[in-house]
Amino acid sequence: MRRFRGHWEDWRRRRERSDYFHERPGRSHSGSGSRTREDVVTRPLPEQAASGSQMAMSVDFKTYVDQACRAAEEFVNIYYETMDKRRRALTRLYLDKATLIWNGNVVTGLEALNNFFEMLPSSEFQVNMLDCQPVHEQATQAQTTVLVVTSGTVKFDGNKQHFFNQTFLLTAQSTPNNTVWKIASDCFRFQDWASS
Amino acid sequence: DASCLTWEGQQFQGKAAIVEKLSSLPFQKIQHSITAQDHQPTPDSCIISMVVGQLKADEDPIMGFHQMFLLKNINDAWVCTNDMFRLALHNFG
Repeated sequence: MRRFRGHWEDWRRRRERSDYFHERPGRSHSGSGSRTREDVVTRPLPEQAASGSQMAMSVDFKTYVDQACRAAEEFVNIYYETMDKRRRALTRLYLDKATLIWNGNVVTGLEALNNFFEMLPSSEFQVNMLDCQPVHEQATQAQTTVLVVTSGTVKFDGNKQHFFNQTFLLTAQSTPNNTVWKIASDCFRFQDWASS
Repeated sequence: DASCLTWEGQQFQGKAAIVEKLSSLPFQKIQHSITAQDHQPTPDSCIISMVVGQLKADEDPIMGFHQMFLLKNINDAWVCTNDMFRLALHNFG
């Protein structure tokens, strides 16, 4: 891996820092107890700067990115814990009109999602990597949106362990006191290479 | 120009920074083989695409990769507003 060795070193350093992404069975979920566990709420995101100097805009954007990514991390922890331990509550994290593509199978709308998750065997997820980016309001008609990509391993009951990748499009539904995040789009795939 | 790229965990924002990163990738030739791709429309009329596959850069061994794009239709052209790329490196031991 001559060319990518530099990236491998970077990756290993990052991996050591992000150990808390591991979901271990029995580990308690870190979050305040005063809200329903399935609601992912965060402090309101700062207003995007409407105008101003380039420097001011990039500082605001950085704060915006940091806050969005923190929300994304919290969301991911809650999502996989809910998927493993409280499967019936999982659809509360989806918008009514959310779409999921699961290994190429399309599932649209809450009723279909409910049926789908009920049918899915019980799972044990381990998230090893997470990337997130805020989506600029230009692309989303002023709705605060965050893209999250996760990868790791999963074992469904009765099946062998698979590596997986999952992409979420999270959208914020803001109230004056907090921001509730829900999944608008979801795409999940096992990493099964063509050659294997 | 508000597009974002996350390449193996590094964040880049804006056309200039993104193009600079992609032009500076350290290989002479690269081949991709797409294993699977998923596309879906988003509630706000963008397209979100996820691609899983394998690549080979120069004479390096074949590696798996995963990439996600968010596409937005601006003036009848599809523009990539968000891009996230990761190699599938799994040696967590």
